[in-house]
Amino acid sequence: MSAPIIWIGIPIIFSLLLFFLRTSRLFSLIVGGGISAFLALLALTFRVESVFPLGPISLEISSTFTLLGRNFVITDSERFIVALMFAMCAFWIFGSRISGTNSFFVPNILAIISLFVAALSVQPFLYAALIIEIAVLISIPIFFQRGQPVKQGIIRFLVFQTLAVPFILFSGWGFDSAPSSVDSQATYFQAGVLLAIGLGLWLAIFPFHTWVPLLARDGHPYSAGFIFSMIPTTILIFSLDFFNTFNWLREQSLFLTISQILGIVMIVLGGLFAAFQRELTRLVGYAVMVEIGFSLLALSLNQVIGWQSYILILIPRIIGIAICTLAISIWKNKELNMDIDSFQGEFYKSSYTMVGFLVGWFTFSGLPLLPGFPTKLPILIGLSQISISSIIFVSIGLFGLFVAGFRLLAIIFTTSNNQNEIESESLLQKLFFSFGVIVLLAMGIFPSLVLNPFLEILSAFANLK
Amino acid sequence: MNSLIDILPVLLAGLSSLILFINKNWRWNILAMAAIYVSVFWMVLQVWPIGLAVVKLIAGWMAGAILGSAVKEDSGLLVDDKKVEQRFKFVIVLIIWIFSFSILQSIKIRLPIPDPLIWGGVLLIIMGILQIGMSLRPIRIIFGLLTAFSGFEVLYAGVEQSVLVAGFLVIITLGIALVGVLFIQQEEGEIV
Repeated sequence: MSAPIIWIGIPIIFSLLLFFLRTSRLFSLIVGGGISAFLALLALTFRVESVFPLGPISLEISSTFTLLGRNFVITDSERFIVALMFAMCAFWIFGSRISGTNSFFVPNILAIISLFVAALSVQPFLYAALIIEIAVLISIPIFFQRGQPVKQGIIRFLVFQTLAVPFILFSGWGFDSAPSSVDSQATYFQAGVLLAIGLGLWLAIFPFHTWVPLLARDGHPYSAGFIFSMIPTTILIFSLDFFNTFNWLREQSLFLTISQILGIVMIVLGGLFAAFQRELTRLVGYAVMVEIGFSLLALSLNQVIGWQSYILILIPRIIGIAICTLAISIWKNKELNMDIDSFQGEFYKSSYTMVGFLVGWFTFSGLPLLPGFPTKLPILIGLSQISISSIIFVSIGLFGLFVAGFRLLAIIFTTSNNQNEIESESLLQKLFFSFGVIVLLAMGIFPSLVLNPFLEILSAFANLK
Repeated sequence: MNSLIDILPVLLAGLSSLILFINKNWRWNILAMAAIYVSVFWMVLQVWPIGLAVVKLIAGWMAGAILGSAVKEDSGLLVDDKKVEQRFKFVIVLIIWIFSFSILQSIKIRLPIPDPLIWGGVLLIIMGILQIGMSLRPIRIIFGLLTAFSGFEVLYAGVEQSVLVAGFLVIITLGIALVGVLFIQQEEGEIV
């Protein structure tokens, strides 16, 4: 038995099984969520490359599985990444019960997460680009909504993600061939440019950011939220492989400067667009832009504090996006107008949902006591040591998010006399939002206790510690 | 100096991608797709063994068959061509071809692969991107994606001969075609 069979093969088999049984929604949710939670716990507790006595027999989990001459390797240090992936998969699957996603959601996201794990474990790691593309193709059906034509956001998402693949593969080839090249510096530089374009398309970095707000509007909000949180998380961890493997990238000040500038542009654009946005569905798209901007800033620091923040910022982001998009899904299912002004008095109608959304939103904004603050602060401190003007621009972006949040806050408490009816929220809804809010508050108040264990993820990247 | 037999697949790729771009007739589009994958197979044959290269041909034809089987005779996807639009597209293609031949030398310096592969690959990528950029209908964007991706497959075949990569590329080609079918079904209200 090998680790890739357990954490890639088994969930893919289950996803195939659930695909054919997808009309039994509750069954597929329980099995899909259950297997994800079980695999996450297994990744946290079992050590790879060690022997487990099981009664009269003993079981050894090896780290490598060979397929067509290439290896899939999940080492012991990568268990935490696998645990994070499957824990988040369980979180998304259980949340789908109240979000009104289509029947493809559970089997497809289980397959997508398995493929993401495969992408992070395949060696040479450059093949990950192809596996991520397969995951992107599998993700398309989860956006479909009954009776609606294929929207622009879904198509643009598919096109941008597909066009990224050639750039990433050729950049990998360039980095591999550069040491033996006549003009290695030029080859490295060209590979770096290709990598930047590929990552730009994948992560929706300016000027390739247009699909994010469009997908937030056009796709099912919860499905879009899953893509917004899990694709950047996988790609950002995959990018660490590049920085860990190729020293040249870490030594290039030009590349780091470009990352910093693009990060700031993403934060400023996302923040300003959010401040002036009236449609709630698109707001999350702009928050995602800001979050990706912070990841780029963390990367540009090229210090231990930057790499740690790069990992830590991922965790609250996933939960924040999950509860925000779940809230939007619930409102959309009630056929509410998504214009921010139509949310007058909504706090009194759906308190748990609204509190969940606001806690998620202010996590993106970096409000103290929420996990956005302790994870973004080290990035801002690191940035302030390089350039004060950058801090001003980043603050403008964050201020934009705060403006959007406080604007919503002002509206939801406003009531007119005929709008004081209280709608009941389901128990599952209350439980899910309460859980999300408590987890985010725990991360924000006790970051060293709740968030720091995730730094183990960095142990898989020896050169980044 | 390249022999005519090496240049022919490049010409076939150019012609078939041109037909796919300017002609909206469904059957012609599927035939053009099939011809594109014949040219891809022919070009890749210069650097890959026939057993591996034929995988691209089969995958491409399967993709075409998947898309072709999804369209019904009374489908709203069957639209007529407009002469003015076709002429405009033809002029655009000529300009793009001139542009693509002008950048070939700079690509040749960076990519150590046979010239016909560079010509054919770049031609298909540019035609695919043009198709994506100038189309609104999801299915035509799928044709564009398949064309651009086949161009990339030609270029990448020159630098990588892994069986696993070939397998992944087949899955992606078929996956794009299946997404195209889903788009067609969603447009016709048959899904979810």
